[in-house]
Parts: sequence; C-alpha cells; structure tokens
Amino acid sequence: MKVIRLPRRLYLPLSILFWIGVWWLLAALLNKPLLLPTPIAVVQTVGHLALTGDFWLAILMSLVRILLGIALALLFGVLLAMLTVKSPFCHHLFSPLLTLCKATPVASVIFLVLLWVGRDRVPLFIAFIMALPIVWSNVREGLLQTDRKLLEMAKVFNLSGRQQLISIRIPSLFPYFLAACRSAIALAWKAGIAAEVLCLPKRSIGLGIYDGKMYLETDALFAWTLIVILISALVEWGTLALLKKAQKHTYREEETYDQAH
Amino acid sequence: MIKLTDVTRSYDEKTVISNLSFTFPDKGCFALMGPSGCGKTTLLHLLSGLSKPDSGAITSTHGQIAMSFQEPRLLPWLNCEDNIKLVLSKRQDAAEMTAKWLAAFELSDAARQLPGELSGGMKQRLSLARALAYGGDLFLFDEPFSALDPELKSRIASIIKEATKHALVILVTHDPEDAELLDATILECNGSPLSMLK
Repeated sequence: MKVIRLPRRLYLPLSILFWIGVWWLLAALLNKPLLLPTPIAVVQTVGHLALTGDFWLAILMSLVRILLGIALALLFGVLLAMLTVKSPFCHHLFSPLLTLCKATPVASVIFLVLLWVGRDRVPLFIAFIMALPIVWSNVREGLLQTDRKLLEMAKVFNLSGRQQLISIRIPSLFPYFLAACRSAIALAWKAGIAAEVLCLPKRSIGLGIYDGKMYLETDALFAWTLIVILISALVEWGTLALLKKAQKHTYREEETYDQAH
Repeated sequence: MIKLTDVTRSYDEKTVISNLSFTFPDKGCFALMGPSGCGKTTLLHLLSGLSKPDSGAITSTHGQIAMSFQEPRLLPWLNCEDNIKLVLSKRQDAAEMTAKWLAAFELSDAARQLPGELSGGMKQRLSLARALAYGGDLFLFDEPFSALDPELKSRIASIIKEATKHALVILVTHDPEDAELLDATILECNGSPLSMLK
C-alpha cells in the first residue's frame, strides 16, 4: 500500500481546517445560531464590523493599552532580574512580590486596580502584572545560566564590559528572553482583554465582547474572540521576528565595531 | 618573572595547593605534570589571575596573558573567524591577524563555521589559535594537544614554539611527549595538595 506523506508545512493549515470543519459540523448539527454560530456567520460578522471606524479604533486602543503594559513588564522585568541576580538582598526583598503576582487571582486584581486607577488604565496594569513575573523569572534564570567558563575566558582576554554584554551575556540570555516574550504576550493579552470585559473602558475589544454577550449576539461574540486570537498570534509573531532580527543585527554591529576600533 | 610565595588555595574546604613557593623566569617553556587532581589546573588559574590565593602571594612582571583552557571555551554563536576577532578588537589589523592564525592552524576553510560544526580537534586548534593571535608575554596552556592526532600535534607544536619564543609558556599535560615537542622543562607536581614543583 502506498503511503502518501504530506509536506510538513501543510500540517498547521490542515489542522486549522480540520477544526473549522469540526466547528461547522457541530454548528450544523446543533442548528442553534444563538448557541453556536457557523464559521461563515462569524466571518461575515467580522466583515460587517470591519466596515465601521469604531471597530478599528477599538482594536487600536486595546492594542495600545495592552502592548504598553507588556512593554513596561519587559523593561521592569529585565531590570528586576538584573537587580535580583546582582544582589541577594534584593532577591529576598522582591521574591514575595513575585509569588504574590503569580498567585493572586486575576479577577481580584482587576477589581482592585479598577478602584485604584480607573477603568481606562486597568488593562494596561493587568497586562503589566501578568507579564512581569514571567519576564522577571525567565530573564533571571537566563542571567544565572550564563556560562561562567565563557566569562572567565572573557576576563583572561580582557574583553570590555560592552563586548561581554554583546558577545556573551545577551546571546546567552536570548533564548530565555524569547521564551518569556512568547508566554508573557499570550497571557497578558488574554488577561488584558478579560480586564476590558470586566471594566469596560471606552473603545475597546472587551466592550465589543461584552456587548455581544449583553445583546445575545453570539456571532459578534465569536467574531471579537476570533479577532483577539488573530491579533494575539500576530503580535507574538511580530515581536519574535523583530527580536530575532535585532539579534542578527547586533552581531553585524559588533563586527563593524571591531573593524572601526 | 612570576614568583609564588607560600601560595595556598582551597576549594570547598579541600586544600588543593599548600604553601607552594616557586619562581618562573621571564621566558622559557615549562610543563606541569602530575596525577589528575593534584592542582595543576588550579595553579594555572592562579597564574592567569582567574582565582586568587587564600594566602601567600603571586607577583608577576608579565603584562598580557593568553590562555587556552582544558575545554575550548569558544562562543557557540560566533563563527571561527569572529571567535578570534573578538579578542583582537583593540587591534587595527584584526582581520589580517585572524586570517593569518586561521591559516596557520589549518582552519581557513572552516572560517565561517560555528564551533558546533567543528570536530574536537578543530575546536582545540581554534582555541590555541585564539590564544596565539591575542599574544602576550605569558602563555598558559591546559592540555593543549589532548584532542590532536600525533602528526597534527607536531605541526601545531612548531607553530607554538615559534610564536612564543620570547615569552614564558606554562602548560599542563599528562603526556611527556607534549613537553618534549615544545622543548619544555618538566616540573613534576608532588601530589595532592600541591606544595612543591621540581
């Protein structure tokens, strides 16, 4: 019997098609659009929504809020990791904060933050709180795992602090930072949207989802959810591509630096 | 000249070097030999400045130190050429020097390859090439020929001898042939803890 082997690149599109097929079949069998709309109905709703300016504004505002939270988490996560690796005292001082961030239920934090900062800033804050511990612990681990033997080699050959940073520390850290970005973006994005649904800031994806639920427009609810998934995938893909490009650029820059000096 | 005076070094409460006194001259080649774990590598690390003695003193008149470690210690994300260029960044002629040493160690064809793509012997040659390219008046080699075949070992030894003839070379080896190839004076380590070189 001849076995047909599919090219690997087709695995993902085919699996997506398979699950859309399952969804379609279930929707057809159930035949209750209020509970489970068909994929076509959802895509049509996305199309209708995309024709309005409010749709794009909601996406833009949600993106700005949540991405700003993630960016701040990346910045503070890296700084905290550096600080807690350098100073055991700071590590013990900040460790309970890390545990607190990881263990506190998101819903409690959302309502608390709502009281403190007002509805428009809640998604930013939530994205920050969700992403911070992931970035912090991953980067800290990366810093601790830097090969001491390579650092010894750098010391013997008198490499400058800048050379050590670019040639040893950043490349060693890179896989950990990449993993942190991947997990932090996915989690912060989901938590940020959940915060929007609960706090209803003006012009937000969360408000669209809430309206869909409120007016029993299940196809709109599905449409907004589909958009959240697509944006999350796009943001993750874009960030990782950007970081990988930056890594390659750094090596070229280092080579140029060596030639210039 | 390097003068060790009553040098003691311990790790995890185990004394590896105990009250060692010895003077190395300005130039020449010396091979530290002795059983595994007798403190040869520890002594090399003390001489390189990577670790400090717990007590005693090390005084040196040497300025620049070049070293090749027991493991090659190459940056896995940089190709062979860039691994050498990295330590030459302060030099104007870094590119020429890199090409020269890659050629001397028969690695020109592998210049663009990453260390992960090299054999054990090639990695060791690259590590030695990096040390010689960096240069200096004190060269420390820890088991420099352990991954090389006899023919290559002899060729590489000639290159090392030529490049270090005006410097002090201290190598750690288990093989008397390595010392012979480099015309090194053998210094026997007396055992653990190391307290005498003779």
